[in-house]
Amino acid sequence: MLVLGLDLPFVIACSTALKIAVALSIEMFIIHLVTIVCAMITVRYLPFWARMLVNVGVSTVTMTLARYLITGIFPDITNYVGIYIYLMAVNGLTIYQSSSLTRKQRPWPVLVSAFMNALAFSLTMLVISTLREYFANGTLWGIAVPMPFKLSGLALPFAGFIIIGFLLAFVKFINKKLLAFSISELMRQDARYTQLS
Amino acid sequence: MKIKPYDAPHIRHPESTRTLMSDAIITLLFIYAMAFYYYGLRAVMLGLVSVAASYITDILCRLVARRKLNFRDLSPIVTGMLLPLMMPAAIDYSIVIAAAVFAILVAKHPFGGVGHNVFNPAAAGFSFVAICFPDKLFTYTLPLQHLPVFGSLAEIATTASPAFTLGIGGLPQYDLVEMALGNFPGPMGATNILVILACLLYLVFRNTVHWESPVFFFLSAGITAFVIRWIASLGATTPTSFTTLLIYMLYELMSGIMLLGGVFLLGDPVTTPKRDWSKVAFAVVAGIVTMLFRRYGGFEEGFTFAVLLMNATVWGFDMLGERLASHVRRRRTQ
Repeated sequence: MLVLGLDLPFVIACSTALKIAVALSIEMFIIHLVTIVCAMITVRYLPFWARMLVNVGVSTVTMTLARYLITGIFPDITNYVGIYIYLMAVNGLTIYQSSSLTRKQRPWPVLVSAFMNALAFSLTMLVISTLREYFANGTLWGIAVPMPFKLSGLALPFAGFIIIGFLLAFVKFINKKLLAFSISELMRQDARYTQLS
Repeated sequence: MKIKPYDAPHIRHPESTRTLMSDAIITLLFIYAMAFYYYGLRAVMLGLVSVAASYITDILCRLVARRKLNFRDLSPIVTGMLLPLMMPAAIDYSIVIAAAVFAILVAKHPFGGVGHNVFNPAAAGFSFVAICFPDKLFTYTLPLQHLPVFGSLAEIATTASPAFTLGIGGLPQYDLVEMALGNFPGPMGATNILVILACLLYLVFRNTVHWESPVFFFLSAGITAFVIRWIASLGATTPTSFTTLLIYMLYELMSGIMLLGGVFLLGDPVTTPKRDWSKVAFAVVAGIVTMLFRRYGGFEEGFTFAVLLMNATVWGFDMLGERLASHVRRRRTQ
């Protein structure tokens, strides 16, 4: 879901409001895609140690630019996100994917994979932030939504772990169902083929 | 001769999870009787609502996980009965339901259900609502007040508990005998000191609770409270006498949910170590951690947080206990 749990700290600590989730998702898309494109170039010409330095440098510069864009859209976001907006420059997902690239990899699959990873991060952030903002504060995108009572404890980091755990269980449940369905379909096709032959 | 093959265990013991839970329920009923005397029908209603919420959540969790429904399992009833006893009698029903649902849904079933839970469900449920609703959970009504079962509780007089007074460094002005009888503001089931002590005796006699856990816990917590007060009094102009320090220690042990938790939460066989010496070490550390949480923690009642922290270390105590046991065995064989 979050590629080996690499970006877990962001999801645990920052997914407390929908605005934060959107801001960090935009930042993630910009940093991740730009750094991966850069990594695809550097992998051909530079040794590993130099590549890492250049990739981190590029992600830091991109973060600085992305931060200006985000603070333009959400002026008070830095007050809520704090250090995490800067830490995104060295997020585990970008570092892992940019450092594990090889020369033989074709560009399109790498770009699609990078896009899908950033998308998965954004979706996870959005789902968890929606749940936490609604149940902890009784708001969505800062607008009050009717709620019988607020569970303010859900805004704390431990609740992030609990919600992620339940989401993982849900994903596992869906995967299991899909696997069972595909196996039953295969068996049905096999039985039909045996009957025909 | 016809031999019928059965699955293990082959050696049967009269004690089972059901008997352990039954004993706990019997003792909790006495505490509910005292809560009924002090706070009226609302105390009983809170218990019923909590038990219903725990039981329904337990059944739903079993259905979702496709586990066999076991109507002989009494553990959700014990969890449901314990939760309101740790809260004030004027607490909202919704808060009790939230605690019960959290206890079963988050602290019990994701870990595999009864017998497999790492954290004590009642402690987890209480801690969750303590974080979410601290203003409601630590505001207590005076005993022997008529509390309406339904409707507004806005006009009910509330007061600070002895635990709060101790937390800010003061000395509660309640008579110790009155406190032993439960006539002081606090959690509705945790103030009946004598009844809880009688329950402890019953549970120890029935072998439901091993005596090591509560005894060493209270000793350790008492000594820690004494030492903390003594250190605090060193800087004062007039030194605190030994008797005053002892009174402080007694107040610490009798206030909040220390006694109730020490008997029912710390005596839980699932979330505590297995060997006797591990239990002793666990109880001693739990006592120290609880008092540190109480003195330096952010909440008036730190017991459940200390229990949860200690629950996470049970594997370490078990491992040390096993090593010690194997070492002793090796020594004896030599």
